Amino acid sequence: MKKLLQIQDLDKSFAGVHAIDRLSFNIFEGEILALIGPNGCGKSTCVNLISGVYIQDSGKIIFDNQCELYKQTIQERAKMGLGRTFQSPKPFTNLTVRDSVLTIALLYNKTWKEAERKTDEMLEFLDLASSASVPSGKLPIEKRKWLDMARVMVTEPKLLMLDECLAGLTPSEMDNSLSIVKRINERGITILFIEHVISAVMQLCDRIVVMNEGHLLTEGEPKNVMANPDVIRAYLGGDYEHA
Amino acid sequence: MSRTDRKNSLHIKSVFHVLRQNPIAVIIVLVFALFPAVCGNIYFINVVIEVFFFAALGIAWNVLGGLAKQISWSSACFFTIGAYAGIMMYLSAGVSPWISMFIGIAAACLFALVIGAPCFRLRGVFFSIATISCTTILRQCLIVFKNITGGSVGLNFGIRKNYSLWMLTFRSKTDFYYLSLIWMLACVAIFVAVKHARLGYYLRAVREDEDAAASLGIIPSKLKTKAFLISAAMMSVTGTLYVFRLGYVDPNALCAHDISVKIGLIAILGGMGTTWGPVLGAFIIIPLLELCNYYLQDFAGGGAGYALYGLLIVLIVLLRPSGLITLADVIREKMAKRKAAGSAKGV
Repeated sequence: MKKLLQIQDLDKSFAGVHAIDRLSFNIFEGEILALIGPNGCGKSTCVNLISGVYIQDSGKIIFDNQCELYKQTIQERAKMGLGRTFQSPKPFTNLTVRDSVLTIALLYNKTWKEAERKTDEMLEFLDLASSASVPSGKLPIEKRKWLDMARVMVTEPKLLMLDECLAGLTPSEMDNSLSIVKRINERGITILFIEHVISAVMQLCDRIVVMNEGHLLTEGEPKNVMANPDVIRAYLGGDYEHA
Repeated sequence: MSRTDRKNSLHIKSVFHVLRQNPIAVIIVLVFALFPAVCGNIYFINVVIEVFFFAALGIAWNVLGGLAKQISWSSACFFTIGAYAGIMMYLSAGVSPWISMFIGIAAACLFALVIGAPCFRLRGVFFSIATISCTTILRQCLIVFKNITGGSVGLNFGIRKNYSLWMLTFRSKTDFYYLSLIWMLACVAIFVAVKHARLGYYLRAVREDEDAAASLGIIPSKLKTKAFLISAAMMSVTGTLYVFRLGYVDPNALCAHDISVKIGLIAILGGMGTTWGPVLGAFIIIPLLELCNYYLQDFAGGGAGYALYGLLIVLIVLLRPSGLITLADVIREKMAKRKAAGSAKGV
């Protein structure tokens, strides 16, 4: 399978905190890769490095087999096909749902007609068509997350990084969101899925990368990873057997 | 009509759209078109001219302040640049304001680029603070380079005898009245056009969440600079027209922080980001200041106007941060509700 994103010996420190410690893993085209690990292990920092919010101290991020990501701005990376959502949704509060998506569609399409067509199609695809004229700030949390996805989807990303898109949802809302993520993946978009809800990860993802304290703990298929005692120890602490 | 057709004839169609949406505004504009014919008092006409000019400045401020929520306190600079461009070119070469206004626009845009480049690296309140210094810098420059600018005394036209539209020398005050009214309406049209163009959409996205907008490919500093340039150009034209009515420039009165605050306050009071908010704001602030000047001139050494600004800012932020013009929406909603309730009863 083709590697879409390669991360090699990535390193990033903030003052004294070694947030990412010689991290390496690959994302293959078309897969849903879960990135999991305890709180503060560097998952979000990793996304921020890939999307250009931070620049790595050392190591390489190679996108699409040839392009090394280092000096590109956030916007250049977005245009290359690296899309992301944020841990807590960031709606354009006073804009309607449709205008929010249209704004971004306009950025990626030459004509208004094309942008409007793509916007409406995306709203339909992500079950937001019924709330098209609602101000984004008035959406329930679940739909705010979908709106974030709709906005980034009209940029036609090759890799979509979803940062805890299930956090704060009820179990039934989670099921809806999971089916949406699955649908996005079925369109051929590779997904990096950062999540704490292990049952969702097991259900959805092709592979799992586990991080702990900034470095790679293990990676592989969900079943094998979850059976790994190191993973359980990282999550529950060393004495879990006696707990 | 599909929304796509709008792109081609965007400006005209969106203006018509606004007119249809605001029947009350159309009536008000008509009233003001007829006002000089009815009112014989030259003082009132002068006050309304001042209102129109400051409404135009408020609308220009709103392009950056309202659409992108970048609160700038440097407006007086661009207004002054337009005014000086007009008067200096007239005095040195007898150039018509219709030509020198373009020189003013170029100079204002250049100045906007110079202060925009460092200031747009700052966000929110830090941007506002950085812009405060600009007015002072420009004023000191005007005072220091007195060979060309006339120093702190300023410049004046002297007596202009040939009456013509080309040179903006009019016999009657009502000519300037209509000129300022037309320019204010042109500013409204420019604002509406920007708001409904791509730029308007991007700016609003930046206003709502800069990080999210950036992550999706929007470059906030570039867009803010564009809006700043449009705003500066509009203010500069206003300055050129204004100085040909005023007849003189005085750096201490024109390039003053007081003017910047007045322009911003007009837009904030009326409604940031709204089309007609600054017009309403100007109709409240300018007459109020006239009243202050008349009744409170001995109060606090003539500082009553400043106290009033402060009080108004505090009140508007506490009571109606979205601006007074949004009260119209509240009233409209209430009337719609009453109508709905009435028809329900009828059934």
